[in-house]
Amino acid sequence: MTTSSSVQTSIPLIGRALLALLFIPAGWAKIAGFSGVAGYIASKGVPFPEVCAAIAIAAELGLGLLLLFGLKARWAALGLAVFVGVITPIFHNFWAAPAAQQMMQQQAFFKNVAVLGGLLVLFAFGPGGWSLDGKRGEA
Amino acid sequence: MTPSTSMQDTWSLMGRALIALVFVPEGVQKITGFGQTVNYIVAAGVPLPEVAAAASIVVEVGLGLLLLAGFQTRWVALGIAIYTLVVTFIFHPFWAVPAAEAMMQRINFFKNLGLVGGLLTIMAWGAGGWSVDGRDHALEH
Repeated sequence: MTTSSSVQTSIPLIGRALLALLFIPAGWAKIAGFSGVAGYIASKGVPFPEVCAAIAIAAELGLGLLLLFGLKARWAALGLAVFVGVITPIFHNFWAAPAAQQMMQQQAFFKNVAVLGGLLVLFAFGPGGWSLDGKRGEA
Repeated sequence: MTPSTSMQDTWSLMGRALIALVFVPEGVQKITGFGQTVNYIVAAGVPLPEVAAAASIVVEVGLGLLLLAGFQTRWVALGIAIYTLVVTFIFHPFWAVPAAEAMMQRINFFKNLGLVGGLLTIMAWGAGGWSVDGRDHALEH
């Protein structure tokens, strides 16, 4: 495959959109269900659950939108990677889960790890030409 | 291939490794639990379940290892992306399952799509220098 321009403009945009589709609606739903989210966080023994819920919303919605539009996209991808890296061992700790949940939690854990991997690749190479960074000559 | 910086080489290798970590062990498990895998595929109404199980093992183990090694990386990433997309629509149809399952299936559906997004990102840029594809380029330094 040659490094044709279309491969590095449209494909990265589709990639960013699919990643953003995971985070933006999840962040949005956390606003509507804020108290439920804080309760879920508290149930995992995390301190300051309301603050953590607010941070999660900022990460998923804020960084998700930056990723989608490709604005400071490399840093948005890194931020989301850190976010996923922190929450995954807390919420999908399959090694400590009851046997009935273990397999499901393990799958969720490794799926998250794979999403994190994709975010790291995005951090490495940036958002491509079809992005606000690209329009500003910073992609 | 576009010349890559060492920072890009490092992070993209790490990214490929983390993605391979979901596919390769999953594929190995499908080999050891072949009968169970076939049953699961039958339950989803897929024809030729043994063939489908074998194909998914080839993709998960074979293409997964190639992705890790960074050999023909762009085509491999595209192959795994297409596979994931097809599997996701068949096995996580959150719009067609009982309400009790819908949320779980929806989460898995969108996680898989996010994973496809990561694979397309690899398809766009290739593997970087720390890969079989990048070997020749690395030797040029």
